[in-house]
Amino acid sequence: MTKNQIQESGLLELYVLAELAPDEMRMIAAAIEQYPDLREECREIEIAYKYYADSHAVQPNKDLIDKVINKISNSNKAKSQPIETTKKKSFNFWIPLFLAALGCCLWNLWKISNYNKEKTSLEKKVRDCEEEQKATQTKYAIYDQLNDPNNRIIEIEATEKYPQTQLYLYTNAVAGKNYIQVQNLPPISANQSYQLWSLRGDNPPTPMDVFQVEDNQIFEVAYVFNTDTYAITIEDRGGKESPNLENLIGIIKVSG
Amino acid sequence: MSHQYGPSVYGIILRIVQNKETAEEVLQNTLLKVWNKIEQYDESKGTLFTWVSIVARNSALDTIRLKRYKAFDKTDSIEDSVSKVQAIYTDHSSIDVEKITKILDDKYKVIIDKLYLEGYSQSDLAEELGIPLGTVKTRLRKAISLLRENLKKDKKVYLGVFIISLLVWFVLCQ
Repeated sequence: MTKNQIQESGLLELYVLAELAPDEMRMIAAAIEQYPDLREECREIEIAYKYYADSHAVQPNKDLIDKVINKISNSNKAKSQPIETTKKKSFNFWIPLFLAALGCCLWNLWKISNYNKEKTSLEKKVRDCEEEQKATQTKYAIYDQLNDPNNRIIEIEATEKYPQTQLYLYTNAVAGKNYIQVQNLPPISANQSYQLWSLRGDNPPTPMDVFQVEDNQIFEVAYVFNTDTYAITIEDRGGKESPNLENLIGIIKVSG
Repeated sequence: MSHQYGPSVYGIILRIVQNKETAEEVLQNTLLKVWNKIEQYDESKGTLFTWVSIVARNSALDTIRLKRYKAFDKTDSIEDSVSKVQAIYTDHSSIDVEKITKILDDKYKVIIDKLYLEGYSQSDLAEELGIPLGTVKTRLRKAISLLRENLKKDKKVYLGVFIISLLVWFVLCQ
């Protein structure tokens, strides 16, 4: 008989009850050895029988079960293990069901965790883009200002101590705005800053912007009306009230 | 094992012997036999429950044959036996039995009842019902298929309820 013929014949249903003739029992046993899925089908048939038996279960007298258990334990003290553990338990579909559900739950948690990570990462990217957009808008605004026809572009006059310095001041007396374009400034340590000063007549230098920038940057600084000359020095980080002329980088003459 | 399988095995025995005292006696003998011959159980050939139920069925059939032989003067009619068994079963009327009745038509239920729960051989059953042996096998297969389908549905429902409970729990924990 083929596997399908065996499945369709109803012989498996009788085989598990040992209700077949000996030659049929041998034939089915051989077929099960040959086709492992028949064994699985037999297991399912057995589960169906058990389901049917369970549905017709009748609770025996409780004393009876206790009596049998006592009898067994008295007559078989040599057997140290209870019956249930001497052989493996029958198939219990709750175990794979529970494991499958647990697996689904863990998989969902893993997906949710990944989703949250991805969400956080995307939110950070959005924030970065927004910051970059703001920076770009600021740059465009500065470029607009730099193209103003009222601008004067004045190059720094570097001192002998810092001859490599290259810096331009874009000053606009109409708009009252100043921009500095840095191309090359002497290096400073982490606890130092550049500081801008305004010099007017015989007045003492007025402290202005304190900055720490890298080369090739353009940024706005304060505009002080009636300034004759701007000066840049290297000061302690945070700036000073009066300049250290030993560290004078250069001056920018705006009058005349 | 006694507590786990006891009621189901006792149900089978009771259907065959149709007498509470005898059924208890057979159940006791069955459990002792199982305990003493547990080494003979081969799990590769079937589940422990199937093996125990076959031992119980054979014990019950042996007992009833012996009792019938000894008690020729027994005067219970067939009707008496049927009503006695019905009286026993009304003690434990359960939803499961009602469910089985909905799943299986009578023509399938009678086959599995007689073969599995009452110890009939397939040829005896074919003769009693007046149907060919092949029809007994076909109907038995159909009955088991219906039970298997129903079990799968139950599993899906339980799984669904379980997953929904987990999701609700998870949402509430958020």
